[in-house]
Amino acid sequence: MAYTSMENAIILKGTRHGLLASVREDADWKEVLRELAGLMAHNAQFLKDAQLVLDFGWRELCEEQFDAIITVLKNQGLGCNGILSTSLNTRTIAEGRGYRAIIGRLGLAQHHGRRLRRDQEAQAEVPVVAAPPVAVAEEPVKAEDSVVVALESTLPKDAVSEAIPEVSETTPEVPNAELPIEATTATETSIPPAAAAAEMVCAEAAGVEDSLELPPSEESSIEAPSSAFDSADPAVANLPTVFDSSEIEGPRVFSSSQEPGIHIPHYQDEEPTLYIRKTLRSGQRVMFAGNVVLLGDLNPGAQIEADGDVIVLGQLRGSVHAGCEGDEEATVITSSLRATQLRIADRFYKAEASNRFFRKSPPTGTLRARLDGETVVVEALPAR
Amino acid sequence: MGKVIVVTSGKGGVGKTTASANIGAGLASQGRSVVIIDTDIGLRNLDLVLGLENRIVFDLVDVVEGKCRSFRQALIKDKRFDNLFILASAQSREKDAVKPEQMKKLCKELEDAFDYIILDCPAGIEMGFKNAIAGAHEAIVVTNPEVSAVRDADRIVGLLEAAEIKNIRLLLNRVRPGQIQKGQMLSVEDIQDILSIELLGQVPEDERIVHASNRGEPAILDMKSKAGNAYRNVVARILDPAVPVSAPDTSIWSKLRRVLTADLGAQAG
Repeated sequence: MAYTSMENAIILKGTRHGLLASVREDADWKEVLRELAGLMAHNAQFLKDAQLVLDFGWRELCEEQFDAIITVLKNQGLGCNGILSTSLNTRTIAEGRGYRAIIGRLGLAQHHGRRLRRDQEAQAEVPVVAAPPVAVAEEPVKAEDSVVVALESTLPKDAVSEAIPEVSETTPEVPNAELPIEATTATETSIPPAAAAAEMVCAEAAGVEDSLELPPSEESSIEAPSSAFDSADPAVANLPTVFDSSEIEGPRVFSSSQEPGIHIPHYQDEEPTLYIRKTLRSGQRVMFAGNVVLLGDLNPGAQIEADGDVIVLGQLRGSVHAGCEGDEEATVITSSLRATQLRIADRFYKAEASNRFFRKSPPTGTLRARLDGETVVVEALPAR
Repeated sequence: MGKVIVVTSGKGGVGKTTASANIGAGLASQGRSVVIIDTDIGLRNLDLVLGLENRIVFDLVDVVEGKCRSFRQALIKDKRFDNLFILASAQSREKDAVKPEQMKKLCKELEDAFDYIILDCPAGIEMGFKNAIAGAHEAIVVTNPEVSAVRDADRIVGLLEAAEIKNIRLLLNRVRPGQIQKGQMLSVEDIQDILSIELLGQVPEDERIVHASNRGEPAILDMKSKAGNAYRNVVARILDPAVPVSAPDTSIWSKLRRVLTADLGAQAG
């Protein structure tokens, strides 16, 4: 569901709740402005009165640059709903001007640009088969300083979200109230009910402890322009969306013991994985449309919500929700299970009611929680 | 250039102000020039703990609003140390009377004039907290061995990390070794397991500290006070991180046992 503008310095991404504009970090600044200025011309109907969330990644903006972006948007009747950046300076500037700023980076433009280039090369080399060379193991979206991000899956999500009801609605007893309350208190300068917004995002941080959970709006806003826009960009239009393993030829990236000819799905088919290289502390929350790997502790009061699997390599003491869009195959893998709460799809696992602080001997070894019918079971993975 | 250290906790009543006053007085007694700023606008009490209430003329808000010529005019010199000053907060104003940029600017000015600038942070994570951490280089997170205090401290550490404050250390206050031994209280190890930040020191619960605060005398000057001893250790560790953390002892018996087991260990080895 990502639409590129012609030159790829900006990726627009429709999410269930609105629009995200990801600005490529290595793109020339003039290019960015030029493309931004052409946004409206390319899809007037799609973008009408839209409020965008801008993802600047690690790009350091100065005040003039930020103002220039806002002016360019305003000139086209567009607004900015908040920004996503890993640069403290950029965030400070945005906050100084009354925009919400979230620590984080999606890097969509990077991924997309790379993929497009790769696909174009592939097409040039292998003109007969439309499939790209076998998937490069996609670089994980890195947690920069304290990232908390989430992005809509690159899968065609509309079908999925229609077929499977919202998990939170089916589990009314979930004590999920904490965060929304905090978010409302922290976001006093609340943003007008935006026509568009990023679904993503997460709470956290430096004076931005509000989660940029933007008010949901009509889902219909996304659907209309896809074909029109895709056809404007031949490279995108030609991208095959479903790959048959038998068609895949070319160099293999994984040279492990995998049997030849095995289907290594293209990244677009696969849920992305978010790496977080830090301890998640109380009040920090990661929502991600994909798998999450946490290379640190998940402290009590911290939350991970992932569409796919969750792997916690440190102490798991907070709340985890795997398969939060309804994936019953999702699992949670960890070496120490002392979770405050563990959920898979719409099921609960509660270890025990006793105070976890005083549990001296947590279960050890690699543990996997999965859904077995209606219940969440935790089993030790055998050591080899 | 001076060091700006914010003393913060998230939860109220864990002993931020007492810690600020004692650490400040301790650093001053070691010959460092120190200023303690009470950033709890509207609820000022640092001046009480140091017994300086009757000397306040100008306060923090006056300084940032430029009502006095310079911050020097608002600084109150301590009764006991010539090199210890406090900057009181305003009693009749709100937290938003000061902005983070103003605090940053003030801290920058104070850095040139003092060795240590200690910011006594208000409870909570709202404006007052944001103000207090704006100009800080380092942080001391005060917590008690209670789950609620530890949870809040964890949140605070997350916020400090996100604000790119690098040196964050833990001060465990109101420790009751007896209760920890009985397993009724979180132990130092339990807390460090969760917070995983460097332990600056642990201060035992001490009746004398209440008395000292009420008299306006920092407990660190009371040589008989257990808490005072612990604060002296904390100050020594601020000045030299190589100094080990002193553990609060419960009784003569536990001390004796420790000596004995250490001896036995030496013999066995």
